[in-house]
Order: sequence, then structure tokens, then C-alpha cells
Amino acid sequence: MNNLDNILKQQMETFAPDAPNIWAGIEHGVQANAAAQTATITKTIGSKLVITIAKIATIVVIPASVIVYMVSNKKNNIVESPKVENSILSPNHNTEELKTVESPKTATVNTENKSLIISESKRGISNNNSNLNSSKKIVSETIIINKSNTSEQINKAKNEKVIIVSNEINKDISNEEISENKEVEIIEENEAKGDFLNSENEIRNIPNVFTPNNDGINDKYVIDLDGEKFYNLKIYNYNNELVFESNDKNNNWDGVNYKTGQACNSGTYYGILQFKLSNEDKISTRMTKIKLIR
Amino acid sequence: MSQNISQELIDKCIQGQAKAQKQLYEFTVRQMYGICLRYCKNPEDARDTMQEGYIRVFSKMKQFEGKGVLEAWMRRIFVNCALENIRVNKFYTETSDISEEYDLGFENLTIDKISQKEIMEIFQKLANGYKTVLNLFAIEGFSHAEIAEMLGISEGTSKSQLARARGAFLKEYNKLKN
Repeated sequence: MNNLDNILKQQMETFAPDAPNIWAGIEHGVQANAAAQTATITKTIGSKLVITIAKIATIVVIPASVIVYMVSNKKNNIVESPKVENSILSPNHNTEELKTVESPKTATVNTENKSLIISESKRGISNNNSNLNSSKKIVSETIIINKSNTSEQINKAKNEKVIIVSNEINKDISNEEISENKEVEIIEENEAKGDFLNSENEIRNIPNVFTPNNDGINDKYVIDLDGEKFYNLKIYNYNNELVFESNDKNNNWDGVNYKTGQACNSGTYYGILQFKLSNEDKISTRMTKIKLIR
Repeated sequence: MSQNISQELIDKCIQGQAKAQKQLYEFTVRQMYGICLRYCKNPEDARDTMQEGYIRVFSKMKQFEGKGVLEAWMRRIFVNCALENIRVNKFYTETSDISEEYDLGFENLTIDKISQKEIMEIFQKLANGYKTVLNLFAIEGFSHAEIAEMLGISEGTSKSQLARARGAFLKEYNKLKN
């Protein structure tokens, strides 16, 4: 039964009939796909931006409210500091703390207040204290400003961060535009030169037919290459399985699958050669289709 | 006829450059159309499958890097596209019980010479299930385990389908030659 399978494989591997020209439809489809992708990317950038603004807002608003609260407290403290102490402190601490408050030095009162205020703000500014109410109002106002995105009215720290974020996006967009323009120019240049094909100037011969049948002719797959600093040849079969790899140009493929040790069947194989010549800086890659005939 | 695809062309296609993509399309279109024709019922289906295949290739090309040979990678995508399109027919549930088509008499027939055109002629006459399994096993070289996974059938079904498919192919070959 292998007879039928082999014949089918050998005949149909190279089946390449005249095809209808459907490039227009493909191009349209690819563009539509790309557009859909960009839309999702913009969406994510958009939502990320909103999240970042929200985060910055939270970071900025909390300390701001603390400062505002402190400022408003400072004024009140001088006049009615015992009141504040009473409302914030739990009854157990009242006696101790009141002693400090009662001391004539306003400086100590202030320091005491600071620590109290910070702990209060950590609790989420949810006290019904009249002093806190005023700072709450300011907090809600700041949030509204954030939503409307009038960055001028937002306080300094926040403003700076927002500008940095939007600047980064602008830079990205302008970079993309520039690189696109460049790419278009490169394509046009290359098209004129027909540069997409392997130019085989540096390399004398990459054979594409190979007959490992022990007749002494073309029994090994030899690439004619001189003066290389780096050499790597990979040979894949029709199913993209690696059947040979070598880092030495003198170690040539003899048509045997180096993993299984079995002789490879007749058919189509693919060679990927990477090399660097001594007078070059970067690695070149050459690909070739190899027809193995036994 | 086939021109070698350069790394430069692949890189440009990955970057999404339309002109490079068109060039890759031109280099490979005949071979890919051959695959689509082998799997599909008619040229119209093959054409649709091919269009879908190329769109998928260009959209997914970033994922190709370092995965061996581009042509083989592309072929796998086109085979998958074709399978998705024909799977709708659920031909295995339809054909698995039909034993009449499995003709033992032709099992030992050997083929001396057959052209691509003749193979395609016979493929057109074969039930979809037979054609698919012959394509996947004999031409593409997948194992029964791989085929079972791709088609959502058991390995046993894959093996019995292949045996029947070979019989059916040889029967048609016999008809064609005599």
C-alpha cells in the first residue's frame, strides 16, 4: 500500500496549478484585519489612560485632602483644638491627650494633630466632623475636575503626570508615522533593484538538486562558500521537521535524517543557511528549496 | 519555477508591508492553490479557502519567527483552513458506515504511472472523507494520531478510513485506466 502513498506524495507535493488572481480580496482582508487590530490597541491605550488618570487622581487627591484638612485644622486648632481632639479620639485616650492639649504651647498641639489627621485620612475620610466636611467637599470637587479633564484646573502634581502620559502617546504616534514613511521609501527602492530574491553575490553555489544514491556524483549536499566566520545550515523536510543541522561547512548532508538515522525519501526539502563572511558585520540568511532524488 | 523566499522578504511581510506581502503571495500562490484544490470539492471553494488562508498567514506572520520553513508553516495554515471549511459537512459520520465503497479487490493493485491531472480527477470522484485522509496521511505526511486530533475522530477511524480510501482510490484508478 505504500506504493500508492509514495506515488501520491511524489506527484502531489509539487502540485502547483495555475491559480486565479485573488490578491485584491486578500489585500482587502488583511487591511480590514489590521484595522480591527489597531482599533483594539487604541481601545486598550484609551482604557489604560483612563485607569492611569484615575490612579494618579487617587494618589494626588488623598495627600491633597490631608493638606487641605491640615490647613483648615490649623486655623481651627488654635482656637478650638480641644474640640477636635474630643471628636477624633476614642474615650479611653481622652484624659491623656487632653493633658497635652491643655499645655500652653501651640506647637505641641499641632504635632499631635498631624498624626491624628494622617490616621484619620487613612480610614477613608468618613468622619462626620464639621472640619472634615469642608475637606470632603474639596475632594469631590477635585474628582469632578479630573473627569472633565481640564488639566489646567487640576493641581500641579497631577498636571505634570498627565502631560507626561499624553506626551508619550504623541511621541509613539509620530514615530510610527515617520517609520511608515521610511518603509514605503525602502520598498520602492528595493522594488527597483528586485532585491527580494536571494542575491547570491557573496556565495558561489547553493545547490537545489541533490542525489544521494552513492553513484559518486552529488552524493553530498555541498555549499560552496569561502572565508566565513560563522556557518549554520539547517535542512527541513516537507513537514517542517529538522533532518540535518551543521555548524561546519565541511560536514555535509548525505541525505540521512540525523535524528532517526534513516535515509530521507525523495522529495522536497528546505535548506536555511546562516553565515557571516569575515568582511561582514551581520549574519546573512539564505533559503533554498532542495529536491532530493534517489 | 519556484523562487527562493528571502529572509528580507519574510521580515517585510512580518512588518506588514503590502508590497512584500504581494510578492510572497505571487511566489507561493500556485502551490497553495494546489493544496486548496486537493482538499476542496470545487474550484470555487478552493478559491475561498485560499483567500482565507492568505489573510490568516499575513495576520499571524509574527508568530512564524524561528519556526523552520515558511512554506511548510504556510502549508499547515492552508490545510487547517481547508479542514475547517469541509468539516462543516460532517462527512465522517456519513461515510463511516458505508462499507460498499471499500472494495477489497483493488487492495493489491499497484500504480505504475499516474499524472497529477489523473490524481485530481480521481480525487474529485472520491468521498470527502477518503480524499481528506489520503491528503493528510499520504501527501502531507501526518500520523494517525495527528489526523485524529485534527479531524476530531479516533485513531482507529483514521486508520480504517485510510484503508478504505486507498481501496476506493485504486478502484477509481482501475476504472480510469481500463
